[in-house]
Formats: sequence, C-alpha cells, structure tokens
Amino acid sequence: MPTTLSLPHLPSSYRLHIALFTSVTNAAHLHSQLLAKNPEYEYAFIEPSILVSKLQPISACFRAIHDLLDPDVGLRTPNVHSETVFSLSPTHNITDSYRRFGISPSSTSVLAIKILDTTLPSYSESNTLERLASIVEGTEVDFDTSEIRQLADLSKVKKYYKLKDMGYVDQLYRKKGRAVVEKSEEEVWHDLEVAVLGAMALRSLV
Amino acid sequence: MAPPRPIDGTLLKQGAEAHVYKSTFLLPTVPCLIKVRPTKPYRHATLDMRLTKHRCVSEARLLNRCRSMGVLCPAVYFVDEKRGEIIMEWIEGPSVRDFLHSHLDGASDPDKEQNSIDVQLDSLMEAIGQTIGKLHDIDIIHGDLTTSNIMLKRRGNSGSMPEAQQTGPALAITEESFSDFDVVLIDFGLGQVSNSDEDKAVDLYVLERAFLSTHPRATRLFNIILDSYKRNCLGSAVVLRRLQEVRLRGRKKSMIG
Repeated sequence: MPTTLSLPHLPSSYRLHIALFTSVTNAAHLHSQLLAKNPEYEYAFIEPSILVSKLQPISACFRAIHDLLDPDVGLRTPNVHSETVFSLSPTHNITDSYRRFGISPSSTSVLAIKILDTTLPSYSESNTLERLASIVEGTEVDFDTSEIRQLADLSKVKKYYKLKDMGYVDQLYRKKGRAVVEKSEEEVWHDLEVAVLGAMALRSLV
Repeated sequence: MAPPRPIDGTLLKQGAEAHVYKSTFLLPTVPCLIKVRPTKPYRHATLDMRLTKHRCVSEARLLNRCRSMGVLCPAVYFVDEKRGEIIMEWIEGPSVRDFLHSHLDGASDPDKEQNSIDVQLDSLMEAIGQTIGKLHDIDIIHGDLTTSNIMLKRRGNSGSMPEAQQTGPALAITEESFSDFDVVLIDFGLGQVSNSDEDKAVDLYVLERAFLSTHPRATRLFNIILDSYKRNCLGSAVVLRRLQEVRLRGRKKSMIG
C-alpha cells in the first residue's frame, strides 16, 4: 500500500502519496512519458539509489510545496512534482538534478510520489492510489528507511551531495595517529542522513 | 521582506535575537527546533531584511559545516532565509549549566558520595575540552561558548555498545555513567570560520568567564577542560599561549593605531 501523509507547517490539505517499487520493468516508458509531458504521468519519479533515508524524499516534497505556496519564491520547474526531484539536488542545475535524482530509462527501482491538494474538486484518494499502483510495473515494497538503505548507492550519494568533507575531523586525527571513537553502523547512517538533508536545505542559500 | 507567519509549535525561549520553538519536522516522530529571527520594527526595513537573512544563512552554513565535519551540533533540516527561520535537529538533554547546578548543589544531599560525582564530572569536562578542541581543529569559532550553549545528549542504545572495546589515549571517558552522554554544541549565531589563534583564544576566554560565573566550584572544572583541550586539540599550544594574553587584556583586542 502506498504511504499517505500530510506535512506539519504546511496546509493540511496537501497530501503526499508515496510508493516504492523494486524490479521495475517499464522505467523507459515512464521516463518517455515524463519527457512527453503527459499529464497522466505527472509524478515525482525518483531514483532510489540516491536515497539514504525516508526523510530525504519527504523533505524534498516539503521544499517543493513550501516554495509553491510562497509567492516570493515560486517554482523554478514546470510543476510541483518536477520541483520535488529538483529539490533533492544540492545544486541549482535543473537538468542535472533530473538526470541524477530522477528516474532514468535503465532504472530497476523507483520511488513514485504524487502531491495533491485535497481541496481541489478533482481530488479522489482512491483513484490516485489505484493509478499509482497501475502505472508502475514492478513489485511494491514498504516505503521505509530499511528498504531504502538496501537500494542506496553510497558512492553516488557521496559524489552528488559533495560529502567528501564528512567526518573530516576524525580523518585528520587518524592521520595524526590519534585514537578516534569508532561509530556504530546506525550512527554512520544517521550522519549520512543529516548531511544529505543539510545539503538539500542549504541549496537555496548558495 | 516576507511577512511573518504563525509557527506551529511550542515557544520555548525568547531572546533578543530569536524565538525558539519546539515542533516536529516532516513526521510526527521527528522532533525539531525552529529558530526564528523576527523582524525588528525599529530598524530600517531593508537593513533589517539583510541582517536577518545574513545571520540566518551564516548560522545555517556553520551548523552544517560543523556537523558534517564531525563535531556534534544540531543538524539543519530546512532554511527559509527570507523569513529568518531555521528548522534544525532537536537535541534532548540538559545544558551543562543546568547539569552543573544540579550536581554541584547536590552537596546538600548527604546520601550522594561527593567523590564519585567529582570523578564523573571530571570525565565530562574532559569530553567538553575534547569537543572544543575538535571544533577549533576544523577552524570553527563558536563565538558564544557558555555553559548554556553546551548540551549533554544521551547517546542512542546502538551507539554505546561497541565503544567499550575502543579505549585509546585520546578517549579518556572511561567513567560508565557519563560515557553514554555526547557533548553537543548549540547556538552558532555568533560563530564564524577562522583559523586565527586570537579568535580561538577568545572563544576559550568567553567559556572561562562563563564557567567561573556559573558556579563557585567551577574553577577546578574549567582547568580540566583546558587540560583536555591542550592534549586533544592539534593547534592547542599557540592558542593557550594566546589565552594568557587575552586574560590580561580582556576579550576586545586593543584598538590603538
């Protein structure tokens, strides 16, 4: 079942529908429909290998809806879904952000997000959920952090989010022969998660 | 300037510079802190906007740099620089100020063994010195190191187990009850990036003043911090030498000439 949620600090009428799919076979089709701007396929299709946590795509949605509703900011891409993919990026390059963080024709897994304003007359929750499940050909898995971690490609994450300075002080101390407290696996994941969220949050400041 | 908007959260503190709220970010399970710099009506609107934005942005950048380089501080979740808002990680735990008050005043409680408390406090001071040493080794100046801006966060269960085997010379935190606390620095509103000894020495000087005014028994504790800083921070020798000068003349550098 897709996850449905609304976010604090934003109007509660905005609702996210999120579903994670593995063994996806029709990525090329989804990609081509996006390029053709087919409104039936207006979703944020995200490449899961660049995700390290559940919060990361939700945070991108938060930024996208936040900017959509802020008259001083507004969207920099055609719609709130493309803006979500763009919001995952730590840089301002829109084309790059689609290529790196969005679905590609060769993707084998995909995170699909639909953002809807429930006050619109056209809104229907059951239609959205059914449609979401029908357009992606793949196996739906739970949208949670443990599934996302399994799909993550850490070298890509570190490259795209420019995380080479992560844990710099420990590297420095090691080089000088100092003892350094080893971090547990969970702490390493958490550090990575907040570093990525930070890189996304600071994008607007560049 | 974007209009202010109501914040969905509990107001915790209201200072001259900012209001601080507790709330949640994205999911009800993720607590967060929202720091808002409200507009100051007595300032010229354009100037006010520029100052608010600049301070908000520099604090967010500093927090992010500090956290990702490996010194614990709140992580940045979201920044709305036009409204002067930063949403950051919630740090649960007492400030060193509250902690010292509750423990040093514990002398009134005759059941507690003062000796064991002292040993535990020593290891805590050791950890604080180490953290400030790390901060200065990545060339970040906190700018307002006071006992209220240093927090003690209980470490998650996952983090505490494997470290028992990892004891080295720099890891002096052996006391059990305190070893499950992490030292977390907060409030980088006056911070900056700098590699100058002067700035680092002033940072320590500010902490010294704060410590001595926190509690009469804190002098000995501050010396443990300095000692730990000396052993852990790579650039400590020059900074400590400079600290002697700063102590003689105060925080402000001479402006003659």
